[in-house]
Amino acid sequence: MKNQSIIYLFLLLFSMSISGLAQDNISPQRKMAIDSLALEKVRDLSKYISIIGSKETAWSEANRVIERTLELFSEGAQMGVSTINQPKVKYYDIRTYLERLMALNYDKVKIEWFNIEYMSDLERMPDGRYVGVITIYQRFEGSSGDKMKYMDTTKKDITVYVERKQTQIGGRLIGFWDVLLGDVRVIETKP
Amino acid sequence: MLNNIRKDHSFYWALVILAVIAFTGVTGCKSQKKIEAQKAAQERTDKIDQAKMDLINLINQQDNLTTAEMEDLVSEIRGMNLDDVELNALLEESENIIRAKREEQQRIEAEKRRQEEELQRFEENRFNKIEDYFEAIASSKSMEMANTRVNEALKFFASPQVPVLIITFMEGDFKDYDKPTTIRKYLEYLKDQGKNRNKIYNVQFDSHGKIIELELIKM
Amino acid sequence: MRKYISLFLWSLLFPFSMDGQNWNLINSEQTSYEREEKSFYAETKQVNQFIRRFNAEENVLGIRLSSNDSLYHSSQLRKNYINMLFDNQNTSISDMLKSAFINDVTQDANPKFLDFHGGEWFGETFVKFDRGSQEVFITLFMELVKENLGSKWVVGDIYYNPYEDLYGRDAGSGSRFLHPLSHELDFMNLDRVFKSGNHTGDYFYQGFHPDKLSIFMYELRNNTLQFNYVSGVKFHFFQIDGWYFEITEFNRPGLNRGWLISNLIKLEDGQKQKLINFIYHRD
Repeated sequence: MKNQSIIYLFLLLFSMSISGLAQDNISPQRKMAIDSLALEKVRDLSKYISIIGSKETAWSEANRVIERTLELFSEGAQMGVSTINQPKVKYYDIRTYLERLMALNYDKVKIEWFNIEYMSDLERMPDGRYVGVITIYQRFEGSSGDKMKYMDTTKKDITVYVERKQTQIGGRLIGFWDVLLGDVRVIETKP
Repeated sequence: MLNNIRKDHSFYWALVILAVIAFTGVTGCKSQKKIEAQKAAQERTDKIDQAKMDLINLINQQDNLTTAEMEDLVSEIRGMNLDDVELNALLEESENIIRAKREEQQRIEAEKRRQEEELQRFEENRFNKIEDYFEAIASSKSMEMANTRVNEALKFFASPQVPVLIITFMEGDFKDYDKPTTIRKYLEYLKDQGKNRNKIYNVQFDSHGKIIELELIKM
Repeated sequence: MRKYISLFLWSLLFPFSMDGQNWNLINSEQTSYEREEKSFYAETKQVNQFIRRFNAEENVLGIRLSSNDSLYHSSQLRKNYINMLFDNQNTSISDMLKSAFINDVTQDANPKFLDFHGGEWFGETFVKFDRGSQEVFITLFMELVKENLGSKWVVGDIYYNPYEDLYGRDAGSGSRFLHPLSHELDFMNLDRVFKSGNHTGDYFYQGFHPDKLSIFMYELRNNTLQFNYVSGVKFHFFQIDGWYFEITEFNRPGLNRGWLISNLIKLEDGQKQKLINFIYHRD
């Protein structure tokens, strides 16, 4: 009798875990849509960085764009920056990084993004959210007068958090994917 | 002999009885038919009266019948074949009324359709107009131009805080969305990003014709 | 543009499919931007990409292959990919060993794949700390563990030389003890214990072994150690039966860059655990 109830308990637990897995089963098409939503956020970030860095952007506009950029990130996200000559990783909070970018002392700044976006698998974290990493490459040129003052190419590995959320809008329940960017590793790279 | 006479008497009585029976039987049958004929005539009269009453009510539109119910009533009365001059006149008059009603209804429906089509065209135009604004904001050459267009586009909306939902994935009735935003933020997003990749999927208006919710879909 | 890259990468994968003329044509038309872009495409940009390339789960543009694509897990594509996944400046891995490895993992009858959640692989990070005015490097061994519905990396063990020499038994250990009547003297002989330096552990319970993570945590808690930055990372894979390999990130010009195999060993029976202990600096 005791053995039988143990078997039933086991079967119950087993069926529960199966249904748990099935719930987590996201169709490949839906997964692709989530991936492209995450890539979209990174593209948005790239564009915002270009606007903030551009010397043609008015100060007030750049500040507004900084606020919008910060909305892309989760709280406490940091940039970890290192160069080839200096392997030391310098940490900046995102706001400081963007404000430094805005205040760079060049007459002209050119920020180009390479046509490459590499996205990892989305992995589940213990808290149920998903995390991925998107790698992009950026070329930066800062010049004053006719002279090129600084140029570098950096690889940016950007953390992306994806969380399923729900909200009430116009009396209906809307299920959405909250995509937030996290820590960014910036490494100078020599092509 | 007596016996014969007795016999003859009984025969006579039998004949009399038979004759009486036969006579009374014939006259009883005749009066039954008459009763039935009278009854039928009365029924017809009743039917005609009832039909007249119904038709008069119909003509005076006292029963609040729908046109279809009127049509049913008229065809039912016609089906009774109650050939009555007065009734026929009433039937004709009823049919004229029904025809007029039908024509009026068709006119109203046509008008309603026309209005709906017009509204749809108007909304489509408005959709197109909003989409044109989105496109114009995203492709603005200068910040000033973009800002002007943002302010112009905002006039279509009940407030700058109107929610904007963006569908990122759809399968049957199931929809996944991006994080909801507001129309001001969305228009600024178009301006900053210089790209307009979402199409209008659904719009909700308030009684003043201003947009109170915008649903977009990723292309 | 993409066409060029695609052509170029395919030419890398299938070197004999393109004649020299086309090759020169592509080279002569390259701008520096295109050259850089090419090397970024070729780069194994993430450990995730290393695994996907190793398994042939993505195309040359880094786009994931559907599991019913004919190239998915294709042994020919894997052979080409894995060949590219070696640090080609490392001469210590012989060509013979390399091809034995490639042949073994891609054999049609029994192909061997890498699995992110398959265990038997771990990370080794070199972390710089400030210890007072001194700069020190401590090795943290990172292990991927499952928790609830997901997974996480944990610090499984550390290696820091000063922690290694805290205690070890030696020939004299047997003669170092507190005699059984020490209690009658209020353990006044503890004085000798705490003057014994490296040998203090001889006076602790039998089988005592210092717990390095606890010491590390204590030093972090009292600010003796202060985190500076991670100066290097590599990963050790024991997932492929009979083999060990190590991957390291190479940030250098050219196409052979990113996460590449920097060490490869064919494991004989019983060697696996020995090697793991060696990497962890465990006796």
